[in-house]
Amino acid sequence: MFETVVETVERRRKRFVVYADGETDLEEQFATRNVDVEHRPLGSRGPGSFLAIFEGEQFRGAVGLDTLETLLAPPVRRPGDLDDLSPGYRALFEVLDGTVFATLDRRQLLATTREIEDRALRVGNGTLRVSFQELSVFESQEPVYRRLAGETDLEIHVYGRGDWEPPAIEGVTYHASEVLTPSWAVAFDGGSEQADCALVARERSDHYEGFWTYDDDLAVSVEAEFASVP
Amino acid sequence: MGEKDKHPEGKGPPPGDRGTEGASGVLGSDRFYRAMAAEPRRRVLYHVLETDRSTLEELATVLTGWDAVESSRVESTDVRDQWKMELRHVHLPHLADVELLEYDQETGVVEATDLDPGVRDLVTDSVAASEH
Repeated sequence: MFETVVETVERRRKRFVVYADGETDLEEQFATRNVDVEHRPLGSRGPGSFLAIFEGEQFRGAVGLDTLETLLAPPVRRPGDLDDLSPGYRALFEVLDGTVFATLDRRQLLATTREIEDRALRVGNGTLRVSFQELSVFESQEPVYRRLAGETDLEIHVYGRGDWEPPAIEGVTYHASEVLTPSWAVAFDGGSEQADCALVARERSDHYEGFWTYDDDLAVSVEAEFASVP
Repeated sequence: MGEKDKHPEGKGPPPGDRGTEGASGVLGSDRFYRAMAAEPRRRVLYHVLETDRSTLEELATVLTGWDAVESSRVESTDVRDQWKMELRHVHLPHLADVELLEYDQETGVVEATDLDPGVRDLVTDSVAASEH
């Protein structure tokens, strides 16, 4: 599942240009699949080192290396806590749209998932689909989804291996299926709003490989793969 | 007073004389301090001195990157486009005019000139003063 959309994203190369005085361990911290990393010199005095992100020749944004590290340790939020993510964190998501990360962990996936859930809550209608791999993972997320279902007109679909019997929640449809088990994925289709976004991550031995995107076409492809699951 | 003050209409002494101009030449001139009286210009000059050669595009990226470090946020294309415009129309011509660097408007290439160590130190110290 999701191979085609992952291949499409991997073909869109990005360029990270690290401006620093000396070595950095950026490539270790942020192992990626579709990024060419360059290092450029920077004087040792001055405000500090930063990363410039390009897609082809098009500049997309710059962020201090210290700030970038918060992506590694995203804010931990309690289930049911769907207040707005800090604008700073959201801006990091946006500038790293379509970057295929090779070593995401569950905490980062949860933070990204929250970002998409936040968006769905704010839009208030459309379809939200989420695969937590096993339905039992949904147990800890139940308060969030009760709130999403209760406070909006969202149509919500939850997918996963049927290892647990989830409670009936009006507005939520469960799909017990093995098909999506290797994938932690989320897709929000906001209907007429330009709010579509998606996260696709595939589990490897001790980490996940994946990307998130606000690109409508990519989000629609992810949504279509979900919809093909019975 | 330095050589530069004897050539108010031109761009200072001819290139061949630059090597003989002592620190007091540049450091004694008002034109130098006016050039230095803007943080973006101090930062640009510092980066060019550190790297010997840069471009308009890269300097716009560096100024944007340093903004991002100071704001602890992502700084985007709008900010960088603004820096490009200011560099092209204000800062680079100004610095080139007082021969603190060389700027080729057609290619966008910016190169360091042979500055006295006293001047280099002043530039470096001025940028370091805004470190956090």
